[in-house]
Amino acid sequence: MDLGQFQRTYFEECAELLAEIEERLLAISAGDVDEESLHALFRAVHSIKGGAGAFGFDQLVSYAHVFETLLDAMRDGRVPVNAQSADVLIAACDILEQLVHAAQSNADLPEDYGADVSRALEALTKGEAVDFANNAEGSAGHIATDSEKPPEIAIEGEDFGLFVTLGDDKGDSQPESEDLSRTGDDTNGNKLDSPDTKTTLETVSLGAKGQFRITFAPAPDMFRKANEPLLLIRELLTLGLLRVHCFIDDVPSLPDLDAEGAYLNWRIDLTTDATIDEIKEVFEFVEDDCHLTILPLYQAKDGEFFVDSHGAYGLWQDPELYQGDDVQNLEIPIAAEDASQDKNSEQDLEKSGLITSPSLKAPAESRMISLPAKTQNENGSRNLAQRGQTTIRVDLDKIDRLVNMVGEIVITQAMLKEQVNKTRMDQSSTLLQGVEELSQHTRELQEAVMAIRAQPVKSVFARMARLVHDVAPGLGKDVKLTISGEATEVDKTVIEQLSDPLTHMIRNSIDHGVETPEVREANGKPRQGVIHLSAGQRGGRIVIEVEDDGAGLNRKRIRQKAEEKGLIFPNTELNNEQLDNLIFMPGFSTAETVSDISGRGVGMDVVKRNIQNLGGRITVQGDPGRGTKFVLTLPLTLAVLDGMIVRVGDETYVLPLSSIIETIRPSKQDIHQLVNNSEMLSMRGEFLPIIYLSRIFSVNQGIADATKGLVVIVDVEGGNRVGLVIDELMGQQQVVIKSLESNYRRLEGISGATILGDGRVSLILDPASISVIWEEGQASTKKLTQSYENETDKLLEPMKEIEAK
Amino acid sequence: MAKTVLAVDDSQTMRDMVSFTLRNAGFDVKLAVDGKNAIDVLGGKPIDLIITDINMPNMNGIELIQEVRRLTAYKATPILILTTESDGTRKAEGKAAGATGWIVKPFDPDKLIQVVNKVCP
Repeated sequence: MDLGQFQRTYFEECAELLAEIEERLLAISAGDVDEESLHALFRAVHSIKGGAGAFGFDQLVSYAHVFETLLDAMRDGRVPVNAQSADVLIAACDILEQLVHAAQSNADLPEDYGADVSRALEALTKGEAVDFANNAEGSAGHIATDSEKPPEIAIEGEDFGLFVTLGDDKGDSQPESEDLSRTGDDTNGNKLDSPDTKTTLETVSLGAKGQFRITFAPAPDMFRKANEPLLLIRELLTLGLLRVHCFIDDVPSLPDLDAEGAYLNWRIDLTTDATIDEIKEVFEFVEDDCHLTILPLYQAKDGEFFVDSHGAYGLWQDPELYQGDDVQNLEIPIAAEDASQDKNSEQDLEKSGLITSPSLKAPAESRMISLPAKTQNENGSRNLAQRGQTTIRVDLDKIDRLVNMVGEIVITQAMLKEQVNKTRMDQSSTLLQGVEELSQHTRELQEAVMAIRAQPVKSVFARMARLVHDVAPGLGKDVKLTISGEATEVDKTVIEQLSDPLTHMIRNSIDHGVETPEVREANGKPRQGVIHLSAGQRGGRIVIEVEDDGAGLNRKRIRQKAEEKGLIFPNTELNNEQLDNLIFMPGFSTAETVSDISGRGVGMDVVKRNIQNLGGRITVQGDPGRGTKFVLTLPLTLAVLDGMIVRVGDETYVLPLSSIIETIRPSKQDIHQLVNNSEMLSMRGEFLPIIYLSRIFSVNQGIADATKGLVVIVDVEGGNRVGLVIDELMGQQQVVIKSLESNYRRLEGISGATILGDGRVSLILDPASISVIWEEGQASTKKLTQSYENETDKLLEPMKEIEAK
Repeated sequence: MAKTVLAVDDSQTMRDMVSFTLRNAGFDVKLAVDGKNAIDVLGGKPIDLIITDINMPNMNGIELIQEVRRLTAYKATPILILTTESDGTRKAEGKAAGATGWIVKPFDPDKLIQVVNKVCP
């Protein structure tokens, strides 16, 4: 049976466990050590190790083992936990993560990968072991040795093992033990009414190595041939150590009993130096008069009754205990035990003062009293049981397929609705009502499906805690990260792509925002700076804020820098908000010195680009001296988009609503012709480039005069705005995004496609990329136009296929 | 009628692997994520076999065995612990708590079926 199919689950689980490990380690590093945390850490590493073993990731197993050994020592209190050891653990967690990744991607890491960390872990474990030995020899020390030393299970290719319980005075492993004389009684038939169906003979001999299981069932006439099983067993005793089970199941009832018949049979486990042939010799004379098997057993560890030849499993109790009538017998003493426990609990109740009357020992009354508690317990149980089964793990592909199918339904529904509306039927018609209901249900279905893909932002927020922990000390900053709203759920893809921008922003806040402790103190602030990361949902969008209590933005410096770099014209009138947002312009950096953390001037524009790619927007507010706040708004999902349907000539396009600032109908004096045949729009003292979509995409009959159409002002790269000329606005609509890349190929200026209610394929425009095309110059625009002309036809083919499906 | 096994493990991977192996071998498998959950899933009703991990949150495997063994319905129920080979201490604790036997982790599917058939024939 191949269990390789569970690798995927394993790696998903590893990712969760690694995140948990890191989170807990960071808490420990911050001085927040609790016992449960240490147990959880141990369990997490242990689980990673367990799975790794199942899939044969040996390097991971041996490393995790070293890690786990230390954590085990820590949770037992043998090794102290402090910030210093936490740092070693964090480093160890990183190595663990790398090893998991290597296992996942089948990558080969050097054999000694992480060896130094591994040694540090061992040193921590050992260093403390010395103290431990000093503090307490004796019993605790004994346990430690036991846990470190693997049980010596010789694997010698034999089939089974046997443990002979000697002097085990606990009595739990052999409730069926009887002495030899008792067995004799049985053979005499004196105990036939006894519920015991088998008895055990135990005896002692000296050091033996090989182990065998002998099953011996004499033929009924064995006694008549003057053979005596007892003598054979005694002879076996000369060979070594015995554990004998006598089975009396075949003994008939007294009237049917043949006094000379042999009804008993035995299972004998023998520990001996003798060879199998020597054992066979014992049975030499009865060989033909009995059923006999002799099987080598595996060398079992202390305390075990039975061990598999490969050390794969072992038993402490004879499984046959659980068969037949024995079960009944076993239950008897327990019932008594339970009764006594009931009595105990009653006494407890009395002690705690819940029952004051001494006469309450009557069973009925005690039952009444315990009833509420029991009911409560049952309710609690049910809740817990439900909780255990409220989540299932589903392959992401399956969900994506579901999302796609729902997307198709949304489109079909929109088409249906449009057709019905065209027929202009009576408002009260059932068809119209049905279509209305359908669209309502479809919307709900879509929301429900999108919710499946949603995950709490906690996973990515947790990584930021690590970032602060790693980065701040190196920059001489003392920074604390506080987090709120981490349970806010966002589409999985958004979460995955959120990590980079957030990393950038937080690094920036640590590097440029938060001041050094000395400066902070001088400014009357606490030495430790605080960065607050929060998430929440507002009006169908996710809002994430990164706020620090640092120096804020130096607007004077920003203006100066922007002018120096030619990003703005000198003396351009900008309000504070506009000034702040200049930091998102490409090539902008005000850092006095370039650090290796941030400040290369490639930071914030990349952040903005990333966020825009997710259909989001980012703004910054920086109050000088009081701190900086980045506000990030993101769509709930990447599968649907709030779009504005626009018409350009005989084509319809979709503009992401998030990029649109406003739409105006310019008058003649607003348009300024430039020498290179391009136009600028003057709007409230600002000059924006005018881009004719009909020219970019070579659309027939598109409006060639901006004053006759509409200009949609959109937000593009680096806080810039451009005006896109369109013929008319067709309306606002949620559209299902279809990837062009997976159906055709990537095209500049287009971020995807969708199918509109009338069944037509419409391209979703990417304003930022359109502005780049425009900037690349009029000459190349012409060239692009031609290539688009040819491609548009080809492009529609695959889209129509999707539609047909 | 198919025998019913309760597999208790906080690791999804392990739960999946145990249930897959045993279901393939014709067993009904119930699952629980920790000892507490196991007690709830059992609900006082008889079961043919319990296989449990040791290191679990809320209620660990040893506590689970102790708890289960106190209940009449499970006094005779075979209980196997899933443990790593090197963990002698845990094995000893498992035995003391009343486990029937152990299975080494990671387990070989055939061995798992073999031992399950042995204790739960």
